[in-house]
Amino acid sequence: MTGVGTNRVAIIVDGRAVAADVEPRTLLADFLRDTCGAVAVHIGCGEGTCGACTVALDGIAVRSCLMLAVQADGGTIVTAAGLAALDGPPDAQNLTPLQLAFRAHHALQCGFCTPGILVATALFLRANPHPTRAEIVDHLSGHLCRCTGNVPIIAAIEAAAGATAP
Amino acid sequence: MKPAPFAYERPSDVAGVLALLGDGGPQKAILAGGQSLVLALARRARTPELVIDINRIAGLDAITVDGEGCLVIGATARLEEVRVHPAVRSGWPLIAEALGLVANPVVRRRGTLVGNLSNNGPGCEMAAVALVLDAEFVVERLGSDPSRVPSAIFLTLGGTVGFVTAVRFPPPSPGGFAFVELSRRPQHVCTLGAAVQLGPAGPVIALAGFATAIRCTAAEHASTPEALRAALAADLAGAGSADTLDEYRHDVAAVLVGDALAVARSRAA
Ligand code: FES
Ligand code: FES
Repeated sequence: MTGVGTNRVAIIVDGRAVAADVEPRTLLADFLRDTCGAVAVHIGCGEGTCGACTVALDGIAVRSCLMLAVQADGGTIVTAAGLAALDGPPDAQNLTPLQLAFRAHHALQCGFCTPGILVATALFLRANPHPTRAEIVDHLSGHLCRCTGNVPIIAAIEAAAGATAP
Repeated sequence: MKPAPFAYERPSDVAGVLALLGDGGPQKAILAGGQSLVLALARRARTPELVIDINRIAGLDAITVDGEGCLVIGATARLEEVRVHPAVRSGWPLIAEALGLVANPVVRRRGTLVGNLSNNGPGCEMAAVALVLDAEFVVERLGSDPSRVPSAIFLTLGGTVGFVTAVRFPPPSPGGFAFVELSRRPQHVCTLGAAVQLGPAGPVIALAGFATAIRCTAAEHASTPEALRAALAADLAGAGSADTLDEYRHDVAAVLVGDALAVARSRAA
């Protein structure tokens, strides 16, 4: 406890209500991992560059390392662990259509960048169900993948977009 | 990467911000999109005692054209909302073009234009745009009427003047425009960027990428590529860059300004 006290934060994380008193300086990414146990939130750079920590806050993709936990008070958060809420129902193995496309196209290796990309891409495809390749590349500019390379990731997103096309 | 301790307040109106802000100073920080501030907190480049979150103040995110035909962008209007706004795209397309080069879509959905300009880090594209379009900042302080601070002054103050509730752009200039930049990779802060807007009195030119953006008045009167080069050297004389690559920067500046002028003129035709 510091001289500046704590603030109450009540949020919903992947359908589960969590409330806790936190120091204002607590970053949302740390709050999600340490207090909420949402370990699908990966912290790569911690400075807004890599996109690994991206979560959906009230339906908008945000960098959880560039937000304070107190700012999210009252909000609803979806991480990659709750992807079905953004991407549609999972199959028998609990994989959503986007996850299946990533597997089919070998769009992940170590998987560190993947949770952020999945959340951001599910929201991206909601807003733009039939993106061009250029739009997908622009979308991915907010995500760094250090091992797979963007080509299979782009292919997976193209396939997922095609699969959800009417 | 953990911020130093600070207190946090989330006032619900502008008066609440002003009361908390008092005389301002480095011990108070205003939190809008947080895409610059939270990083500065995490790195402890900034260690305020109080962070004032303005995100839940109703109406502060407005993007409007006022009775004088000016574009008024509120303090919590997100970069991406500004970029795609129909009035911005039709009347002030230079803003939309430059915003397409700022950060990435996720950061743009969260970061604000006022915050981007208040932070005005090296390579801030929008600072050059604000100079070229002659933007002014609406600044409120406790116990005084809102004042309007021109970009040329505001951008040198480091955002410590009070509570900036909006940035205001004069009515559209109908001429061609262009923003051209060199950056290490797309959507990274630019190494150098050239903003050009053609108007009745000729081109208005500014460069981003130095300690702050620089209006290039000598270059605006150059009529040949050689003259442009010499004029830019005059405009940039004394512009303290972060490193010793001044000669390189002058070369790149001449190329970028030349390209931006060509694009602007092709759009004007
Ligand atoms: S950890 Fe947040 S963007 Fe890299
Ligand atoms: S799969 Fe390893 S960083 Fe992207």
